[in-house]
Amino acid sequence: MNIFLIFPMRRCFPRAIYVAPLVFAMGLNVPLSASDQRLSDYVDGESLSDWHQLRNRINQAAATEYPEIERLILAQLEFAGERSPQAVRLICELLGRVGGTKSVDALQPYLLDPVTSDYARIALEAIPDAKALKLLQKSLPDASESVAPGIISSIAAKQDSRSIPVLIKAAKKRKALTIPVLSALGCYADSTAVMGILNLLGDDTLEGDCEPDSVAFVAQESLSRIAESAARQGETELAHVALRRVSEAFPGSLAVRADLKSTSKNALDYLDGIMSGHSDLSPTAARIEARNLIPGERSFENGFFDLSVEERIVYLNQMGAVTDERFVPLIVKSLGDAEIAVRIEAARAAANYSDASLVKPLLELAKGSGEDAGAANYGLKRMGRGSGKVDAEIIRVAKTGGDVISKTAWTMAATRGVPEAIDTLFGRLVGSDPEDYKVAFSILNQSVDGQHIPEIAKAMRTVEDEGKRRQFGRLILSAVSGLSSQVSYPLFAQAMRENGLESDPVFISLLPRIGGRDAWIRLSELAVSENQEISRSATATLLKTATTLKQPEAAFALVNLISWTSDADARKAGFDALLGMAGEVRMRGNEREELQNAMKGLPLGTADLQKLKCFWFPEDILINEMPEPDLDAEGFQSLFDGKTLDGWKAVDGTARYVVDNGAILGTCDPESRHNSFLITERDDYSDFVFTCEFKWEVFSNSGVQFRSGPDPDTGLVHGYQAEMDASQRAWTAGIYGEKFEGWIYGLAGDLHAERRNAVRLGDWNRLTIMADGDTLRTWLNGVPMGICHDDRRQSGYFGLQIHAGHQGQVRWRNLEVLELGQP
Amino acid sequence: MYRRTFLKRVASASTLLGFPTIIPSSVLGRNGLIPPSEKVVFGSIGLGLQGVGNTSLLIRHPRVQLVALCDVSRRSPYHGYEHDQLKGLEPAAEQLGGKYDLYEDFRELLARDDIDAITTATPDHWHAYIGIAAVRAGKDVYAEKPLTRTIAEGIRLRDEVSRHGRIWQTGSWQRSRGEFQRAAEMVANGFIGKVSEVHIGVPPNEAIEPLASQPVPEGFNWDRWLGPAPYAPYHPYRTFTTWRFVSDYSAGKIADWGAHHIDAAHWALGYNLSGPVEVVVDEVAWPTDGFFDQPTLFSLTYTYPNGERIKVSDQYRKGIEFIGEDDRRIFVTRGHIESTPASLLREPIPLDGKRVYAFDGDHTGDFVDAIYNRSRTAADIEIAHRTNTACLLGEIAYRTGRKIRWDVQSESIIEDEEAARLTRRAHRAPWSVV
Repeated sequence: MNIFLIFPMRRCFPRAIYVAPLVFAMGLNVPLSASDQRLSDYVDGESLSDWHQLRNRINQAAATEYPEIERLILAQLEFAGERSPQAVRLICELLGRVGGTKSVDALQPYLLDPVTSDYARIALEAIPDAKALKLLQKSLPDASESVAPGIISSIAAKQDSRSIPVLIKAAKKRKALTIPVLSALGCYADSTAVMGILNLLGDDTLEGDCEPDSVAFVAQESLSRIAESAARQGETELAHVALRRVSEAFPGSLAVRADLKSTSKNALDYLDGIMSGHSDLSPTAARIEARNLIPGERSFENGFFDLSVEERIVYLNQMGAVTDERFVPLIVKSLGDAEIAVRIEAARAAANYSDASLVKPLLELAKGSGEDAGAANYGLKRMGRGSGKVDAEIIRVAKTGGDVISKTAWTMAATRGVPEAIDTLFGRLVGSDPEDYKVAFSILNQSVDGQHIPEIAKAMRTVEDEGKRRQFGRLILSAVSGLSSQVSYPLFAQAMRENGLESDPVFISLLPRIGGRDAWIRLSELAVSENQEISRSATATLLKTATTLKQPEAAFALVNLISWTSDADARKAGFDALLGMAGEVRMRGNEREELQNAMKGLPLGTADLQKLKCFWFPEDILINEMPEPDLDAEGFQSLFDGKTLDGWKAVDGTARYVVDNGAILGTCDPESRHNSFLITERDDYSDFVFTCEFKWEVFSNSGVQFRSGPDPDTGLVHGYQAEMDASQRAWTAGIYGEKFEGWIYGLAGDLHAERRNAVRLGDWNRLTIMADGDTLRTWLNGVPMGICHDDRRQSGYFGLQIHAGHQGQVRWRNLEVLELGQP
Repeated sequence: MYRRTFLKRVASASTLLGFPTIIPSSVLGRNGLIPPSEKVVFGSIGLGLQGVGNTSLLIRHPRVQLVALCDVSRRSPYHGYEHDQLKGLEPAAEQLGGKYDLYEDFRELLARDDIDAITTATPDHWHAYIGIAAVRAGKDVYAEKPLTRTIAEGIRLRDEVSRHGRIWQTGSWQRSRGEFQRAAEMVANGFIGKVSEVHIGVPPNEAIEPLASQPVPEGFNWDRWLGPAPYAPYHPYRTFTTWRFVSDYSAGKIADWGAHHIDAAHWALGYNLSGPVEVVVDEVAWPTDGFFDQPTLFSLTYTYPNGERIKVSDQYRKGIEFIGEDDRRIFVTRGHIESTPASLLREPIPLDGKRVYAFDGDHTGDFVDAIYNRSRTAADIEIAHRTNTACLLGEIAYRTGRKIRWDVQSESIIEDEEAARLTRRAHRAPWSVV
């Protein structure tokens, strides 16, 4: 028997958390003695409570108590001869916290052992005692190649420049240690380290490439680090020595970086030297570059416009970075350059300035449509944020410039949030000139934000035209874009209320787009307003947007509508919309629970409530976890002899049922007006296990009826159906109520994802149904599928469905039933 | 080919002066116009739950091209990721849905000179090493928070990123969200008067019973997962998302959530580039067994230069509450902001008011823009370093039980040599960061 296990969707890996008995509250003083601690015997997987006790003791101790605790821990280290590396790790971590001279001695044997060396360093790197550094230095010559790099890094971490000769000596002796030592030397802002690096480089390594982790690369990095930290500490002499060395050792080097700026005058000579050998720049450019570093000696004008396009781009880039007003004339001139690339770079550089003379040329550029216009817009937007000068200049151009540049300037002023621009544009918006309106609208649409909502609402009040008001609605949406709904809704609602627009159709249509719980609640309130026009408009908006926006708030609004409305059509439409959203709404926090509770109280029939539950919360519904009943058990009776349709009759539709090759073959009649069924003549099966095999010849919807009978009104087949679903939805063996109530147990959602794979479309499938009292269950190919508790029909016939439609052909065979509770 | 060569040239010429390199987009293609095919080429390192999430957000950006993935697990059932969803490098590649070069060793990925930028999401103990290696290789970096495991690593990483002039974005994405920007601007513009206290609610750490180690699963490079952390035998609980509860790999929830919430408080109060002057522990409880060793309960009080106090505890409502004058308050958490009185929320920021860095919604998009503009990101390196330092000072406070005093200028602990030991940790060779 195939037992099919489905894991719940939560983490399968349970976290064993039992905080209560395991925590150690602060202030509880646990006595500790060496004799009752056996941390040194620690074997992986055993209790770590001894370690935690010691650690907790340290966490509470004053620094003066550390020597005493150190003594206890060291007793652990000595306690047993044989000890696991993991015990050493745990002890070293504690010694790192409290250790001193005594610990250094005790750790010595562990430092050179490749298994424990890293552990010993955890303690030795942390222990501030001078002996710890001495031990590290002393051990380095004897350290194996696997252990030595770690020791070097721990020595460097101590930042004691007296270690430099030890490091250099170690690298000289063993070439394999060159890179770790070169890297370590970068930690010392000390001239000995500079000499050491150059000494280690020798002559032969200079040819080496500059890939990361190469000797040349690491050396450059370390020299740059030294220059940088020296400059930061005000030791300019050392910084420039480091830089000179790096420039001599690496003539084409990139290692001279930001450090140079801070090392001032001395850098100039060396830079000149570097530049003249630099392959990427012309000598003129190099000299300009060098002069640029010295405040007061910038002489870019001399020769700047003689440079190549690419070089000018690089300099404009730097002008943007250094922001010196003396560059402004160069940038202004470059904004009118013949080369688009130069214009773009100039515009980007301008972004970092706040000089009014840049405004007009930028606006000239921005009114175009090329990429330089984009850069100019970027420059204008960014430049001189909060600078009155720049804003005033933009407004001046807006007022006095020609049509095109004026529009560009107004746009920019509005984008920058200049109050005067906004006021002017709002004035034009409600004015009478249609051209002014169009321009003002398109500018405002790009530049309004949350704070402008009251103004937009105020302007809206004065406008009669419905179409225009809708456009104002668009402005509001632009204004709130980027605000979270918690912020935007109150702003929006208050502005509309203050202007008497609370029930305006535009207000209603915007509510879902503003979003947030309050907006949706308001919408559902309006949907049941006594004013019919408002109610109709709000209901339509709610139904339309809820299903497209698929937000949890929308679902709540629909729930409100269904519970509050007295209009049956609206309730039905709300219900359909709510059903349509199921499975597509991402709920957060306790929304799920809230919605579940809200749905429970809806004024709907049981069947509809069940349907909602099935669609919305499929994981809450029952799961069939019972293994498929034993089909070889005694007592099964065949319902089909393999040759004739004796005991069966066709009803309702006009599909054809014949016996073909030992199976019942049902074929769809496209003309049939009803679903067709081949039903058993006996119609009193109540508690049973039913099983059959089926196979689609032509895919269509189908199913097996059970406990079914004629509908009292129409006479059509009425009752439970084990679904056969050839569509992608794959709900085969779900439980459906034919002419009854629709889906009783669907297979929606992640919970059933694996089950839905059970169906075999091109092959025979085994369908088993068990009806026992009020419990109905199904299995498909041995996998437990549907389950429900439903006793509205307690007995009836079986039926094989061929659905009305264009096509469909299905085979059934081996139809058997075992009646329960029978002797 | 032309593009790469030229990029290098421009880069080399301008890094000469150490200014941020603005690559003029116009010189990337023919005729001075940027062809649509020009993209930032990315590699992604660390493909657990967070790494795959970040990367899939990133590749939605039209200017991004992802070419390489790196992880220490190829395909195995137990290796450090969410059980049902991700099982290593190959499944991540399938989920991201493209053809990528796969690497186990991040150094090979970083050595590719066609890669401009990386995104990385590893356990905290790897952050500093990979970050430094990446900027040294000339990559711009989107890195998961917390910034580093120790304060010393943070200082070193900050220095390296700025020295190499690379663009850095930290995964403190609340900085790119409207509700947090709104809260920061309301506080910065005095909506609630002078802030006296901030209450930050964070979840607690967990404890676990003693567990015996297990064999390392096939396809999982445990030694490389450990990297700079001390060697310890493998157990799946050391990986998964529970590595946060082991101090060898992480400072636990204070760093995990502090990187979001303390960060938000720094932002609002104007301490982006400085930090606390004092931290004390008010309450702490520790596990008494098992290899999880972070406090199962803690509350901390930070004091800032202008006298504000930030209290962090698992007892507070999860989020950040700013308490101002006359009982005016602002509470903000993901997707929700509220104020007392409620009307404060409706007040606009004055036109001449203080504005924070505003970039709504797309934290990874902000990074991509910054790569193009060579501009600063929402959660730049220095900001992230200062936030992370504050979190780690909290860790030191509860590990020593003492008042920790901090000098924000020299970035050192004042007069407590024993506490200062906890500002650094020795690394396992050869993964040192000194």
